[in-house]
Order: sequence, then C-alpha cells, then structure tokens
Amino acid sequence: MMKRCADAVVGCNSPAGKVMFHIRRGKAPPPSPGKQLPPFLRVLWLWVLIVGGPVFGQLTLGTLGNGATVSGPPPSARIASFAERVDLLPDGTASVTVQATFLAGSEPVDVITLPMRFVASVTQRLAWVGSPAPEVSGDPLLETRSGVPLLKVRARQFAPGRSVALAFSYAVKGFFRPEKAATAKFGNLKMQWEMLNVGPVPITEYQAVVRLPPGFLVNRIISYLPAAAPGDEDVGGPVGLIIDQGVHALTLKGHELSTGATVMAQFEIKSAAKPWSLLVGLLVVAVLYLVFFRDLVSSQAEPKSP
Amino acid sequence: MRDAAVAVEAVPLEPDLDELLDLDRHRLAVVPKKKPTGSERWMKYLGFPGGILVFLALYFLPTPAGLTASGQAVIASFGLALVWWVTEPIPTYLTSLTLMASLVFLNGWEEKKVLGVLGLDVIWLNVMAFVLSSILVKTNLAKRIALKLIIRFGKNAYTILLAFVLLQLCLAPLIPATAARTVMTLPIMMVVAAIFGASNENPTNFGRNLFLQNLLGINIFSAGFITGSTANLIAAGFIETMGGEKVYYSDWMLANLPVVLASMAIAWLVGPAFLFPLKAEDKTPRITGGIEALQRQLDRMGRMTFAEKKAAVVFGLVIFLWVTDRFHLGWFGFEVSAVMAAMVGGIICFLPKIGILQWNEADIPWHLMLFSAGAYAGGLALEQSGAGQWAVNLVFGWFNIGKDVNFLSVYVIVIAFMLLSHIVFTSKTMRTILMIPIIIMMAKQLGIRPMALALPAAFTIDWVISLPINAKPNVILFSTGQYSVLDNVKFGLFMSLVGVALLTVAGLTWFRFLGITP
Repeated sequence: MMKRCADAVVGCNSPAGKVMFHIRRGKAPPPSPGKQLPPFLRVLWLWVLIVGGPVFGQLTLGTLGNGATVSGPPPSARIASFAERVDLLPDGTASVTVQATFLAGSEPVDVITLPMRFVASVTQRLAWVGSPAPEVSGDPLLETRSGVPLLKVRARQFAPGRSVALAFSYAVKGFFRPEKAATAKFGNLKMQWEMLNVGPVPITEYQAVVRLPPGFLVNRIISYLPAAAPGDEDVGGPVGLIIDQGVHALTLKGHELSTGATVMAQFEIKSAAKPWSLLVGLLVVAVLYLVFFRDLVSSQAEPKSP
Repeated sequence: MRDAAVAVEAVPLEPDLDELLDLDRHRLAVVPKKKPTGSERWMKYLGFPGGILVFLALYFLPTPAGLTASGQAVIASFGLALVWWVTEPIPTYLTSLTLMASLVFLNGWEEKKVLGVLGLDVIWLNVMAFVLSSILVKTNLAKRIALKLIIRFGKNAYTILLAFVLLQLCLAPLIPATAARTVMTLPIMMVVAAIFGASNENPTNFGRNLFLQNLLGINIFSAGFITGSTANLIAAGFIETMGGEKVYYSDWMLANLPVVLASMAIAWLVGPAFLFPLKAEDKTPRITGGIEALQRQLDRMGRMTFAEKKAAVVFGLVIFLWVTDRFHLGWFGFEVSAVMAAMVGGIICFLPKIGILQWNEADIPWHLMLFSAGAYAGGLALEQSGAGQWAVNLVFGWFNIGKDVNFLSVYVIVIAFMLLSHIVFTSKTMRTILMIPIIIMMAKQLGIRPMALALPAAFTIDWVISLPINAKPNVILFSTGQYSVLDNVKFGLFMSLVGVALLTVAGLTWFRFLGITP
C-alpha cells in the first residue's frame, strides 16, 4: 500500500523506499501551544476530540443527508495506459519506446513517477519522443532507489482529473547476446520481458510489443505471469505472437496492475532459417522409397479382397 | 440352399470348434501379418512420400502469426505421423517412434518430456489390463462365460443376438482391448453363424446382424466404461489436466452406459426388423445339434477350475476397486486410481504359488504401447507448444464462432462432428488427442465449462462403426466375409445418426440431471 508523504517534504520515501509520487496535501500540523494545560483539562480536551469529533461529524453529515456516500472517495491518480514497443536489434540492443497516459487524481501533481525496468547504468539515450507535453518540464530522469529503477518526470502543476500523454524512448545495450546462439542448444536464446509496477500508482492497461531481430522468431513460450485460470477469456495467458511489419513479435498484456503487480513472459527466440539439407534429404528419401518399393504396386495380381 | 444334413456333413463341427476356441492362437503380442489389398498397397506406396511432402510443406512454410517455431515443428511432425498412421507404409508403432524422434530433433518438445510419455498412467494401465486379460485366456474363463451365455440364450435368432449383446457387455469392463474381445468372441460368433446357416459363401441377414451388432457392441460398449479403451482414459486425462475436473469411473459409467445400452437396444430391434430383415428360415438354427455341440464343449471343460476361480476373484477385486473409486479415501485413507487397481490385480496374478500367470504367459502387445506413447507425445506436444490453441483460433476465424453461440448449437455440432469424424480417422487415440484438447479450449473460449462439452464428446470416441478400416475389431470381423462394405456403411451410418440423436437427447436431459451439461 502506498504511504503518502507529508506536505512540503519533496523526495521523501515510504519505509519501502518506493514512494515517488509527491502530492501537496494542505497545511502542516499547528505548532504545539506554548503553555501546558492542566492535566484534567488535557484529559477533557482529549475526550472532546475523541468523542466529540465523530458526534459532530455524524450531526453535520446527517444534516447533509447522504452527501458523503454519494460523492465517494476522491479519485486517485493512475497510469491509464502504458505501452512499450521494444525493438530487439541484431547487436543485442533493446530499443524501447514508451507511450504512457498519466491521469491525475484529485490533488495537484508536481512529479510523475513511472515504473522502469532497467537501471541507469545500462540505459542509454533516454529522451522524449517528439516535443514533450506542455504539462511537463525538463527531461525524464532515471533514478535508482534501493536498487529499484524509476523514471521521474517533473510536472508543471496541472488541475486534478486532467491527463498528460508522455512518450519517451531509451535503449538498453546488451539486452541479449546474439553470439550465444551459435553455441546454445538448438540455437535458442532465452529471454524475458517483464513489467513490475514499482511505481506508486496503478496501471490500468499495459501492453508491450517485443519485436524480434529480423530473421528471428519465438521458438517457445517458457512461462508467463499472470497464469491463465480455467475459464479465463484469454486461455493463452497474457502472451500473444504477431507479425509486425514483417517482423515476428511477442505481445504482453496486463490489466489493473497495482503497485507490486507483475506481467511477465519468459521465452526463447531462434533464427527463422530452416535447414535446407533436411528438405533435400527427405525428398531424396521419398524418391528412393518410390523407386525401391515400386514392387508394392507393380505387376502383382490384385489379391482378393476379404 | 443347403440343408442341415449337408452342412453337418460338409463342416465337421467339433474339431473346428476346438480349433476355433483355441485362443492361444491369437496372441496380441505378435504383430499380425496382413496381406494388403490392392488399394491398401497403393496407399502404402503413396503414403510414405505423401507424409514427407506434408511434413515439408508444414515445416518449411513461413511461420504464421500466433504460432511458435516449436509449434510449427510439432504440427509438421504430427502431420507426417497422421498420414503414415492412416496409410501405414510402415507399422503404426514405427510411425509413433518416428514422431517422437522428430519432436526431439526439430526442437518441438523436450527430450525428457517425450521419453517420459511411456511412463504415463495410461500406458501403465494398458500394460496391467493386458496382464489381466491374459489370465482370462490362460484359465479359459472367458471361453466358459461365452459358451454359457450362448447356450443359455441361443434358442432363436433374437435371443442369440441378445446373448451376444450381453456377452459383449460383460466383457467390455473386463478387457479394455477391443481387439482382444473380438478375438475371444469371434470363434463363438463363427460357430453360431454356421449353426444359423450363415457363411462367407452364403451370407445371410442373420450373419449380417450377428457380426455387425457385435461390431457395434464391441466398439460402443467400450464407451460405457472409462477403462473401456485407452482413448477413453486419454480423454479423461485431458479433461482433468486441461479442463480442471476429474472424471471418476462411476461418473463416466453412470452417464454414458444408459446411452450405450439404449443404442444397442435400438440396433437389436431395428437391425433384424428393418436394416437386415430376417427371413423365417434365418430365425432358427439350421444345424440340429449346434447348441449341443457347444454344450459338449462346455461339458468337456468340466467344473470351474481353481485357476478360473482365482481369475474371477482377481477380476472381481479390480472391478470393485474401479467402480468404488470415489469411496476409497473414506475407506482406506488413500485413493486407489484405476491404474493402481489394475496393478494390484497384476501383482496378485504374478505372485509365486498363489498367482495365475508366469511372465512369459502375459500377452502384452508392446507395439501398441509404443503406438499409444507416440500418439500421446504428439498430442501433448501440440497442446504444450500452443499449436492446438493456434489451430482453435484459426478455426474460430474461419467459422466466426463467438460467445453469442448458444450451448445447444455448439453441443450438437461437437457431438455430430466428433462422432462422424471416425469415418476419416482410423485411430481412436489419434482422434481423441486431436479433438478433445481443441474442444476443451473451444469451451474455454466460449465461456462454457469444459466438462460440459468434452465429456459428451469423449463418449463418442468409441463409435468407430461405419467402415472396416475404422478399427481393429472391424477389420477382424470384416475378414469373415459375412457382410459387405456397403452393409457396414449402411448399418454404421444409421447407428451413428442414432448415436448423435441419443447423445443430444441425453445432453438435454440425463447429462443435465447429472450436472454434466448446463
């Protein structure tokens, strides 16, 4: 559960060290009185606070009818959509383009924090795609806190309930090692794409398209999360396989990813090239069979059918 | 027309009867050498390169969207095996081994998993079931049961036909192998046919009814019991592993045995009356003393031997364990599965001194085990590689089947397609492995409980009755020359339609009452 920081303490952390979404929350508590009250008055004051508060609340809300329940809890901030397009390049680099839509809650926002998979040491060329949205300022900033990478975007305060579209890209060098295919069993390269929502707000819709290097295809889906349960609409789980502009790609989908939720696919890729020697060899075998077994159908009297 | 005296003179009954009833002559472990017909030889000749061409086309075509490379390798390997199983250029077990090797070599399925298939419970159950059937043959218990049934009910054509229905009904839960049941009862059928004046030189409607009803009984009584055939167990395994619901022996029997009995009753009534109407002379035995000959055979067997009694007790114990599976946990504190129940029987059979069988006397057709293992490996690889799912999606795309389709429409289509697909496929196992996972996945896609579609579909697996090539019993019975291919098609198609109708009615009533269908 996210722990919200107190006002004016920009950059504070929850005990888990993962709270990055900073919200100004009104005034700080009043300073303590300079003069101590007598003990019995302090007890009385405490009693009034404990008992009187709810009574006052009940009375006032009661007079307002069901107003409190009709209005419901204040809307919370969320990432309405988070789409990643990952281009795996032949040199082993993963070029990632992210398009996200952040929806503000009922309170003003000054920093937007997005989940990130890669730490700053391997991430390169992090930049906006096109012009940044007017609601944000500066470049996206990759931070690592307690080993957890996060992407921070400084926002110009915008009104509650408004959304902002963010599009940025980055590259991860050495995401996979293509040279390993030469020595791997059947030439398979094992890899994994994962979205672990380490951010403070939920993601409503997540989608990743992992485009394989040209000439490669997915050999096998090893595992995925979340697992498909019997009766699920998507019995194949969150993973799909498509051909995107002539390139084989793996898609990964997730819905309502709260903080800590994961969508993951572990899979093997391999070269799409087929052994032509197999084609030739089998054709030769077929022809040899037709030659050497022609006595099956030639010059024999038809045996009487039973 | 031959008269009875001539027939008796021409066919010295008792020596032949002894020979016919010598069941040791039909050992299942020995792969039979069959002389192929002209069309079969052409199928063999073209089937081998045909299979290779199918494989090459499926493997070397560009991998379509939605399919993994391993899935494509599995589909190509399975396509090759399918063509070779049907055309038989090489023995079926050899095709299975080729399929298993191909799955490994082409990276379709992991080697450990492919090899592990031989250790599946289905294979073990088969092994133990053949051990148990061996004690029936060795002790002559099956022969005694058959003779008694015929002598008891064989007074006229209708009662003798009914006697065979009962005989097949008794044997079905005891002997899973339909070929074994055919081999055991065929001699009795031939004798009875001769008694009623039917032979391959002189086929009569009595002979047609007798042999085709036995063909139906041997095949569809297997559908009444979960252990009735390997394919039933495979289907139940799919329903459990993919559908998430366990099918107990008693669930299966309670649901489908009434349907099977109703089908047999219709065949028994309609066959001699309409399909192959009996003439007056067909209705009574034409050889005086025929039944007495069987009685003499039975008398010569003497009283029930100690070995036969032991065999009966062992069978009784195994069947008791099979039938009471859902109570085991309460009784024993553990569950005795179908395979372990058979294994308990097998252990008793082989025990020194108190056992019935020596290892060398156990008639286990290992070639059938390898055939089953290959088919099972192919089916599981199709599922685990995602190729089955891909195929379902492809079918959905073609037929535009969506969630708005009502259950009854889907149910009737599935039942009719599954039951009539036996005309194309020659292997129940193959049909099961191909269709049941797809039906389970289709049910999931349509938001239907998998059991509601897959279990009734599994009840159609043993309906392999329309052509002589559909199943081993069909081939064996056709070899007697008592009926033509056309007779088989006429009878088989009529009864297939009866089967679809009965299973549809059951789906709306009996299965719904049992909680299988919604």
